[in-house]
Amino acid sequence: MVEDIGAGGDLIITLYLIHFAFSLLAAELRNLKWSIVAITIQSLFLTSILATFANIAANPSLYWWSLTSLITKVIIIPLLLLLYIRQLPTAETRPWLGTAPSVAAMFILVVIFYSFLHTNVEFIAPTLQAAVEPARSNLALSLTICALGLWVLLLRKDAAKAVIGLVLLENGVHLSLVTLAPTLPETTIIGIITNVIITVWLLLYLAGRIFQTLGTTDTATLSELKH
Amino acid sequence: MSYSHCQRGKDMTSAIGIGILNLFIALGLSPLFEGVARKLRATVHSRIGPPVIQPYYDLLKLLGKEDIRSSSNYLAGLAPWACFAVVATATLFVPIGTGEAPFGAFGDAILFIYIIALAAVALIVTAAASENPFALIGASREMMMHLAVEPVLAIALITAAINARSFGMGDMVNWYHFHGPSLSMITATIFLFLALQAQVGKLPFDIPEAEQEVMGGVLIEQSGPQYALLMWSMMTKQIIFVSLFCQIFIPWPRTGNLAWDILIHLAKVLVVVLIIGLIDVVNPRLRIDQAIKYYLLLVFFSLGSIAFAVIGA
Amino acid sequence: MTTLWILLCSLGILALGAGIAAITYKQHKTCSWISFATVFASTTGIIYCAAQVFINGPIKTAQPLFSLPGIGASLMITVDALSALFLVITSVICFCSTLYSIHYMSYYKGESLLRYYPFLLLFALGMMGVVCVSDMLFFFVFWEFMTLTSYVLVIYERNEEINLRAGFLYFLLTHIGLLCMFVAAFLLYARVGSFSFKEMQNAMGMLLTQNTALLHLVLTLFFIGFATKAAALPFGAWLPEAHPVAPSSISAILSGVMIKMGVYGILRVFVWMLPSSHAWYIWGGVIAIFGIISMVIGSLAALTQDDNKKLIAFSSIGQIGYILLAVGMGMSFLRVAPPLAAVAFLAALYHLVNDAALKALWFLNAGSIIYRIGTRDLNRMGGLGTLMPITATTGLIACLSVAGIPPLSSFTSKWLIFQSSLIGGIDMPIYLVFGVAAFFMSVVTLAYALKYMNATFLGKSHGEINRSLITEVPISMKIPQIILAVICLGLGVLPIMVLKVLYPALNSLLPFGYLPRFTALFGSGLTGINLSFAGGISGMWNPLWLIIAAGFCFGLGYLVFRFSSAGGSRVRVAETWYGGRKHAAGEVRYTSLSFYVPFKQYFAFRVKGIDFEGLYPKTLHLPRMTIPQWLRAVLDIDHWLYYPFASGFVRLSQWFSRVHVGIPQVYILWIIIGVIAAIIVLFTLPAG
Repeated sequence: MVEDIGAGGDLIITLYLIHFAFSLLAAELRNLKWSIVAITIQSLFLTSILATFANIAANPSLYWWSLTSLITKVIIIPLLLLLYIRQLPTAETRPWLGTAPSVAAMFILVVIFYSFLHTNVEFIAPTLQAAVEPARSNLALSLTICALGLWVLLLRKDAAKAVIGLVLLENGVHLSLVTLAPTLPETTIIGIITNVIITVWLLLYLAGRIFQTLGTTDTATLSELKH
Repeated sequence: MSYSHCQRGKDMTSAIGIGILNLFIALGLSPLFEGVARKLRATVHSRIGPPVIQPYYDLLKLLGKEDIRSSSNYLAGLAPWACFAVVATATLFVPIGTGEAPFGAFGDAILFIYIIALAAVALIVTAAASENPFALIGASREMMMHLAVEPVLAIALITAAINARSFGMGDMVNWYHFHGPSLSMITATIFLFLALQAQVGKLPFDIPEAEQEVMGGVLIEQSGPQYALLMWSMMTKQIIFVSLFCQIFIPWPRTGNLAWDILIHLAKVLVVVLIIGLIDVVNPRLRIDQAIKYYLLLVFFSLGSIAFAVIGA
Repeated sequence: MTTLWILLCSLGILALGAGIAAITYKQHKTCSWISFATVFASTTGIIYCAAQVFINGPIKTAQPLFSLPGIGASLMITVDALSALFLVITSVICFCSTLYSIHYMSYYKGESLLRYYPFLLLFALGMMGVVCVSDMLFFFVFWEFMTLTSYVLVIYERNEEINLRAGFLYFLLTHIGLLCMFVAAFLLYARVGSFSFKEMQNAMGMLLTQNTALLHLVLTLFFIGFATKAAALPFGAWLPEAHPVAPSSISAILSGVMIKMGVYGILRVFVWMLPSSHAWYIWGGVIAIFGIISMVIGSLAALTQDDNKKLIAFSSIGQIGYILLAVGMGMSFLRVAPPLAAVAFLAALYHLVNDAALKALWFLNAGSIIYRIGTRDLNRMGGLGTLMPITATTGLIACLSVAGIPPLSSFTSKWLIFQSSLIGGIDMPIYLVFGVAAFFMSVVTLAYALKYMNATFLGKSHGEINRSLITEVPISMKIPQIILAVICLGLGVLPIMVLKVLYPALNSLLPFGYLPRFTALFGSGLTGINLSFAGGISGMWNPLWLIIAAGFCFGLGYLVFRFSSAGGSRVRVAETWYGGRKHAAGEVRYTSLSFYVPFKQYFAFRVKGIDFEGLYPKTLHLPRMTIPQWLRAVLDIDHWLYYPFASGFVRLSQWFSRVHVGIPQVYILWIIIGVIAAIIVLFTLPAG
């Protein structure tokens, strides 16, 4: 198996890069619609990564994984997002950091994080197999995307953007599951994904209500609810 | 000397007999003595004055007059009757001529003092029940006079009691008769004599019935038979007090014969009534506070007679 | 044994009744009638037991009901003839008072019955308990019980501040007395280690021979305690303040029974417990002196009062003076002339019984007036005799009784007091002076009794009184007065019977053999007394013959009336005419303030800015309960401990709550930090 990585390995890496790029875009784009589009495409590439992994690791269940992730992450979640975005203003509420510094900071952090993870992967990897390529990069990347998602969640003031950050986070976790738990049965995945869908739905609903109540999606204003 | 029970039966009839005699003398003859006093007064005023039996005529006339009552309080009708009855009862407990009071086995000197107090109460209640403010003034003054004068009477009787070692009037009379004059008894006699004037309600101490000052005081609202009864009680009271004074404090002379004893007693009473009448004529009326001061001083000094009695003098 | 059982039931039913009354207090009628039924049952039981004691001798429990062997106290119920006498007095007067309260309490419209009936029944229980125990500790328990329940009853009308201050004065003085008694009891307890009366008697005997000064200290303390309760001046300054403010039915019990408990205590401790010695002589004199002070000051002060219940309260003090004088005389003469002492003691007990009945009657009478008129001021009454004839009659009987007019009750007891003090005083002249003073005060008593009578029932009505609205009081208020009036009359008309009942009571008090035979003292007549105690009869009194004589004389008076009506005299009621014209109601009145003014002026003076009227300070400054400023600050723990602590805590928690900023991202950050910290901790912990 390890030897077969070679050709598939390049594909994987390409897919990784594109996946990563679109993640960045999703995180950074101020226009919510385009951000959703970006994340849809990112999810699409996630599906393809999963399929490739299925091929490389000769794990048939991973095919099912990619199918389910296709249905949910590419179709259902973006639909939900688009549905709820309609009530909200198109532009995201201005975050604390401006575009340029935000991008720069994001870039730097991502790079540092990735390299750190890549070198110290033994720390996290459960099996010996996970400590070698392509699993190694997979792990590093997925955790980086998790971190990215968290970054968005924490540092973006917009409520809808926070949902997008959550989706990112979720994607990253999903990706890491490939290396961390390859023999996970299908139903578990379905369970996880259902969980995610419902969470996203609820959060979107809440964002809509926040907009109705407070007139803005700025989470900083949620402290008003304290009074 | 005291009653022993084997004599009970005989003494009962004699007690009742003498009691009726007492009532006759005190009730029946008191207007006569009053008439004599009025005649004396007229003489001093250089007048002829009314006949001696005039008080009888007055009482008879009043008995036939209309009885106008100022209040529908039942006490207003009851009190004059009670006053008369109480004074009449008091005569049964005073020796008049005899050595022992008719009902002396049933009550002693202390009882007598309280019966006299009850008579004063009846008079005061009569006055107060009449709703006339003058009558109430009179009632208040009557009580104060009583307050001031009764102690003198009491102290005199106590002196006699201490000497006789008994409160029974008969015992007192007998003791004094046999023992003869003593310092304590003589002082008691003097003080009691000074108190007599107020007890019989004559000037200068007739403050409760002051004719001019309080329009008759306690008697202002009384008329007809009630007025007659009250006047009669006052005349009887004069006889009772003078009798008491004469019998206990001047018990001589004393023969064994009942009729002679009574006559001698009445003669003594007449003399004392005349003296009282004389004082009454020549004196003006005192004010109530002057009278009280006079009598409270007298009470204080009369304690001396008790002191003499205690040391046996 | 059954008698004892009935006694315990009678006492127990009072407690039960108190409980029921406490539950049903909201329904006035139910509560009143249940309380009355309880008292009625209790009274019948008590009278039966007392009769048994008088006939058969003392009863006592074989086993203590309750005992504390560690401190030597045990609750044994012992009823001898003296206790039986007091039980009868208590139960009869409580009975009359409870019957009276049924309608009287409707005068106090705003007040709750919860503070009245339960406490009334417990008060009765306490008083009965005081005389039934033979153990000092339980005596104090019941004494305190009696004091506390009576305090609650005294301050029943709570909305006036003056009432609360008067109640506080009562509370304060009686507790000071109690404290003195406690100390005395402990001094005796220290000698014998037991609280029972018998042991205390032995302790006193021991002290007599070993340490006489300590004995006198003990006796002084006991005297202060009992004299405070008996309201002997100067200890009894609470009585003229507390009695007027209490409801009249309670004043009746307080004056009629409770202060007599002080006399009971004096009799128990000074005559029964104290061994025969010269101490009797000394203390007899002391008690008699305090008696005279109370008598003189109380009676003269009563003369100057314009508040009807205060007048009666001072009269209580005066009559207690008579009782204490007689007790003192009895004690002084007990070793030198026992017959004289016996007469004096019997006079004291007789006067006690008389005063209980007539004081209760008088207070209930005053209460009836207050019920109708609404004021206690004698200046604002008058002329009520025509509107309330039965109340006027009972009032007249009460007034004549207290003055000692024969044949009513007080005459016999006063007669005995005069006889013993004046004839007995030949050997001890001080008592002669006391006797003369007692006589003078008797006349003063008559004066203030007539003042009450004149100002209330006779004379002209006050202008404010609407005569058309005043009617007689309800029948349940008349019946107790009539019962007590009949008792007053009966006590006066049957002196030998009463003395025959009192004689065993005295016998139980004195050491054996001191008391002469009854017939030797009082003669063998059934209706009259032939008193002889100094060799030879010194006094005679037969009320029956007095009544016969008076009846005859009334008949004479009636004859006069018949004569006069035969002569044409008619009765006509006309309006009063004076001063030249008719006067409106209340226009010209001689008020009670004006009565006896020249006499009052002799006894009024001024010392250091306090006016004395009738030898008593006119305004007694009632103590106010005040706490010094610094103590109040220390006791205000809220201010220096709780509030600073609480506000600091609030500020701390507010500082903590700033964590909740309301922004979700911050919360997520906290969670992440927490997770990372947990992981670090987990990995750095040593394994295992």
